[in-house]
Amino acid sequence: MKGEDLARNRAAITGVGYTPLSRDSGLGVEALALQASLSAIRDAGLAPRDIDGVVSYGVGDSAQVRSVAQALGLEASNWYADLYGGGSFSCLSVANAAMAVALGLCRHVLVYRALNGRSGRRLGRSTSAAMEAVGGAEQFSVPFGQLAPVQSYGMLARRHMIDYGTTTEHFGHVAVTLRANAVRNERAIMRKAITLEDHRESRWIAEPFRLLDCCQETDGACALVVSRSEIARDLPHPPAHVSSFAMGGSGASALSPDKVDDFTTFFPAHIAPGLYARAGIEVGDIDLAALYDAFTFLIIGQLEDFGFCEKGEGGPFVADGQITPEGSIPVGTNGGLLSEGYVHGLNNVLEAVSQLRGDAGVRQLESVEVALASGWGANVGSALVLSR
Amino acid sequence: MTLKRPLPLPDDQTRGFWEGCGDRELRLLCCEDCGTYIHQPAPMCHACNSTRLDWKRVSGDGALYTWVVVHQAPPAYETPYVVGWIELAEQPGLRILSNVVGCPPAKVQAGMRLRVDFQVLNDEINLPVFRPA
Ligand SMILES: [Zn+2]
Repeated sequence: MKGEDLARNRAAITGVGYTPLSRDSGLGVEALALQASLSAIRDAGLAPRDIDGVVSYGVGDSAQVRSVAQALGLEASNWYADLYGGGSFSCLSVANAAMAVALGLCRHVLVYRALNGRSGRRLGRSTSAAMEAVGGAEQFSVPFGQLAPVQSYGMLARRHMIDYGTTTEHFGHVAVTLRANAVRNERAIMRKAITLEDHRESRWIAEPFRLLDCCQETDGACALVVSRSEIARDLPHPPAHVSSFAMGGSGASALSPDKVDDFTTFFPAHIAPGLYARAGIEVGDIDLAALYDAFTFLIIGQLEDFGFCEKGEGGPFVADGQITPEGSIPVGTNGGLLSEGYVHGLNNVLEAVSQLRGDAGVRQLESVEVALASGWGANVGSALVLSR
Repeated sequence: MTLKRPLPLPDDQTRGFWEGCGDRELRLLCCEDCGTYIHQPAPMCHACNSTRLDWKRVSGDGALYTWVVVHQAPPAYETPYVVGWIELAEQPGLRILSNVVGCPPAKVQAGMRLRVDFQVLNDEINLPVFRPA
């Protein structure tokens, strides 16, 4: 089912804001959320009283929508959504805001994600591992020492290596490419260039993943404003139109692959055809892919299933330089979650906006008309097509 | 304080599995209507939506589908260790997450034949692990 294109270009991202990204913010998550939010609202040429909806997501580690709205002094709201979810929700949160706008509920919706991912509650650090007994689904994972996403995604990567001959050196090409991008990004946490040898010599975390295959635990927040397109034209920056969105998937689950046949087909294979059709584009129209990259391999898997290369060819594709700024489909021009920082994926959406606006400074790609952004968790993910 | 690996906490949905392990048998939910095995335990058969499910012993034979060698984990876990998905002989795609033991991590291979074994954790709980067959 491809759906109708009722929402195509009805909403646009009009403002973006960040806090500094660090390993120890020294601030609470609400202070971070407020700082990024105010910055995004002002970037859109608006004031808090103009915002009439707020959306955020987190896993119990973020600032609550209602308290952020109150602290900002919002005057009226038609749409508050505090979504409980992780990496797969980064684009879903923007889609949720875009739907509220497209349906006429709101004029300007604020979207933010704030976390102290390094100094506070660290993601993927199973608190259950410190408990005496674990129930629920974790009774089948924690006692066996499967504790964190690095292990579950590592198993997807391993199976891809078995089925298609993908290598850890292919992962290294992803790490090196995104780090090189981060070197040109003043916001990035990791700005020292690395080589394939650095990657090869970094220690194993969960083999086949090494330290340099993993994203950066980060303290920080980012925010954006989603506005009605007809209003967006009168705001200071060129709008990044939300051309289509999707959230879904099936098939391989990083967490529970026991009921699926195919371990190496990922969520984009299920959502990409409809996503592109609703936006009225083909994969070849995409100029930038801001793919969710908690681990290097995730980029390889998504390149295949979003259709940038053939299934199984993702490894050779990245080794051939195709995801560098000069390649056929630049990925992670900000350095991604791997090297800019891990604001749970939302920072990659902001980079796509920046590239569409043309204000990415020394990182600016030539003529970005259409950008793809994605978020991924377990067997589902969300994605956005943004257009100038 | 000695840190120990957390124990599984059986519930109404999963008790039959852990009781089987206590008897040194691998028992999985099986659909009485279509014969599909279901793991992890769920209230409904994903093949035919039947809710008539009962515990049934499986052979404990399988092959390694995918795995990681964990080098970084909390102190309760002795690294390096192998955790992976084992595809059981009874049904294509019927997989169980467990540890591969009795084999150096570097010798672990895709498709290697494995058989279930049980590690005694306490009087009530045995953990099902897999050894080279
Ligand atoms: Zn059935």
